[in-house]
Amino acid sequence: MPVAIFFSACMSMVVYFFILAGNTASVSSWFYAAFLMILFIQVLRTKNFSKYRRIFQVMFAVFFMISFIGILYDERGSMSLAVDTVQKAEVPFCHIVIPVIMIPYAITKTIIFPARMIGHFASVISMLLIWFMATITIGRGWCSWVCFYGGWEDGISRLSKTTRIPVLSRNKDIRAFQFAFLFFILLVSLAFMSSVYCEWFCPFKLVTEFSPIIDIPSLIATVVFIGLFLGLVIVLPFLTRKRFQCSSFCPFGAFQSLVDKASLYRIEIDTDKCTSCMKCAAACSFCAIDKDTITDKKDKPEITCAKCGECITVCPSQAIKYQFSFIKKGFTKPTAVTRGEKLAQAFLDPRILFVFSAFTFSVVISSKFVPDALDRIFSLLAGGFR
Amino acid sequence: MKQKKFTYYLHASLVLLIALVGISSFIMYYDIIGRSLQSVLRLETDPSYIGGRVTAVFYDPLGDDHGYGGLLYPQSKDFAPGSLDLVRYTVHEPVYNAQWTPLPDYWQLDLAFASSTGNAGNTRNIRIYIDADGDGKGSTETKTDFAEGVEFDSSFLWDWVLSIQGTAGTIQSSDGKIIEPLKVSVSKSRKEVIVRVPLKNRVLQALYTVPTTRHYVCVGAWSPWGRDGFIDMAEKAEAGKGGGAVSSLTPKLYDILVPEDKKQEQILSAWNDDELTMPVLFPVEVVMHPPVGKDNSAFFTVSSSRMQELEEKIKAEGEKARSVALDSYAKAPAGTEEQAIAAFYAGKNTEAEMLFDRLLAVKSDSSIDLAFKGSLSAMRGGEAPPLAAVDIIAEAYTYLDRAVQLASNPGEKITSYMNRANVSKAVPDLVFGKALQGAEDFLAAAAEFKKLGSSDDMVSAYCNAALCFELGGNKGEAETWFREAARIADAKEGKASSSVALELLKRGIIK
Repeated sequence: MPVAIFFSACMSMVVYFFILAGNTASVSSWFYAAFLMILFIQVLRTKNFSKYRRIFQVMFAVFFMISFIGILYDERGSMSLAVDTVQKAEVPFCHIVIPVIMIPYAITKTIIFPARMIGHFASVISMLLIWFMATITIGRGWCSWVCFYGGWEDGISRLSKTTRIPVLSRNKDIRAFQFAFLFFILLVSLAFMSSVYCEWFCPFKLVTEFSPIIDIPSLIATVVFIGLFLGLVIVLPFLTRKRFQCSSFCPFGAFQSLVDKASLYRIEIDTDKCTSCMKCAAACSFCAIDKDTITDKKDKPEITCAKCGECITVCPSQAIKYQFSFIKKGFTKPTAVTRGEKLAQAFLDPRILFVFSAFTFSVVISSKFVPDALDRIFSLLAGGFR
Repeated sequence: MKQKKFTYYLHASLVLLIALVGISSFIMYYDIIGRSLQSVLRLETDPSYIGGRVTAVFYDPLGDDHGYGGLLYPQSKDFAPGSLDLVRYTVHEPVYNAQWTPLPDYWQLDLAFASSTGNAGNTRNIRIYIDADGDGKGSTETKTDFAEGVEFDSSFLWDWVLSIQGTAGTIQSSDGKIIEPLKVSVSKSRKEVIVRVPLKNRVLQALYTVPTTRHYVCVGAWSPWGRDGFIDMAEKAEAGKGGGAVSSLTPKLYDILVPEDKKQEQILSAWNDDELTMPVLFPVEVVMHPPVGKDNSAFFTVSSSRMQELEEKIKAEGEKARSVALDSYAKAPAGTEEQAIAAFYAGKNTEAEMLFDRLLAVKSDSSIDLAFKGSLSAMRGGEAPPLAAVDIIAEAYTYLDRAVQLASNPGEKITSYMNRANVSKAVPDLVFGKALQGAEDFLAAAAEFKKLGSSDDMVSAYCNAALCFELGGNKGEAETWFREAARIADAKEGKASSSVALELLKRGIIK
């Protein structure tokens, strides 16, 4: 109880600073701050990470779309990418581009994306800094807790109660495809010195911004991204109950899996407690637990684990938990003897620290978009567009 | 075992610290971290997206939009003051196979004006005559006879002319055989015109290889009834006519770009009514493929002793101003606005804020008191812990914005603009996003200083506006205003103030 109160108080300060400070007159900000606090307290109280995490991600994805498109309409009058936005390098920089720009930067010392470098929330430097901090703390947890696109698949994958197309046996292939696709994107982007993924493949253009159809290639690109959105974000997640785009196609997801080793947390499977019921494998949205993971008694999920906590929630024998990365296999946590040690261990619980870290990023990244979206909705309900 | 236990608790405590304080603090200060990182990494967008590598930037003086010296704008509201005043002309290297554009092969030229037009840039009639090869072939006459009312240097005959009006434009060869449409866009502020010349045509592709080009840049006012779209001139300005014409040969150009050693007024006034000769324009030379420099920052080449000297001078000036303010504070009648302002400049922030609070309790709509109160609140916010700072600064802006709204006379306008601008310059742009507003406020204050003839203050305001543009990521505007500050300081043969000189020196604008 004191632990929950302490972390809730700390989170309220984070929420205050990033949501309310400077916006205390905004009803939307108060509404959102209250929502976040309820969510966080519920996570700590019920220990049901997956449920409340999903509520956040789905809400964030929808509200991000409303706010982002609203901002585009305010600034440009449409969702289509205006010529002068590119000419002036003012295209919002999104985290998915991060792996794509690295090799060209190393070679040419320039960024192959027409975004602002600094001085804006969606500038290259801002995104790189947030990504860096997220990588060394929550690692690929970004995908399941923070990403403003992930909520689409997270929500749609749970609309169906049953798995209509089981893909458990194809997990390895799905993962292999994702890394192969990352490699392909890196090569092609290098060859064309352009962020080819954004131009041709990003399905989320449908809910953010896209190039206007002015010729045959732009028509093809439009058909491709609409098709990919319908296929990878709607249909396949619904049929497989997996986050299909995140598991098979997202270059950032693959890249984040590769750099996840630098993060502070991981998921640990206690092979002694595991009863091989395979519920975790069925629940994993990121195709990160195979049959082999369990039968070979591996002590952790596969490389694409996004630390979403689905497996922890469904495990009937509590064999899966969050763990610090610095704790190696075979290490046993020191037994808490004194009251002080017990209290210290309660405060140093990797589960709570991970959730707190991930939730902090969620608060920060959503802090501008969700209140803005709420403002837009409220003003629409009050009788017209803002 | 004990060692292991210690290591575990040590590592876990560090993780706790990162979770509780590390992430939030990092994000709270990531504007500062980001700027430091950028000063090291110097990230830049691939030039092909944004027009290609810049090969030349020409700065044209502000306020010379009077042609030969006496032209007046047409009286129609669409011709906003300054909208025909060219301040910057940028030439890029031709780009080959660019991405994210329907025009993969192009050559970009940018024109920036002092202020926006009353409509979508349609009131400007721009001609850029280009001698692309220096082969002595081409024309010395304007595209349409007697349109602009000028001729061109016979040493550099033009091969191509770019005609731009609003978002439409064409490029035409001097023999009239080739005419291609241009891709023209006008920025949202309507101050910038971006021209992309398509290089699909094989003849135009020669621009990829020519070592130098020479440009005559001419800006006139547009009228559908004027010859080649150049508005007619009369003695007195009318809605559909420019004013100030003293002869039928008065050129219809409000602003032109001239080489550094020439004066626009001298060139444009050199017509001869008796011999019926027109003024002759001289081009600016553009090296099309200058060697790739590492960067053009002057940070590491300026004399450190000169910088140190200026820094000491600034410090000494600051101390002197403070002691004068302390003196005024002591002498000023207690509880008056005079004392409050003196307290502000003397750095007695608490006393000053108390005094302004009292003054505002009596007269809540005093623009000057509100402006200082806003600045003092913001300063208090700057010293407060981050959690409280954002709220305090947001509150400070309510005072500052109100002060600007209520300002009615020049003194109030200057005080309110300057206070808000200084706060906008000081607060982190990533959190508050006020840098560009700060720049506009400094420019508004500069306009008031100009009316009062206070050129020192005007130079300082231009320099601060440039600093704000720099903070807001608008390098082009920043450079324009730094140059303008340097030009005015240079023109009055006085020296810029130490703080302005230091900023200009840092950027290599003065030596």
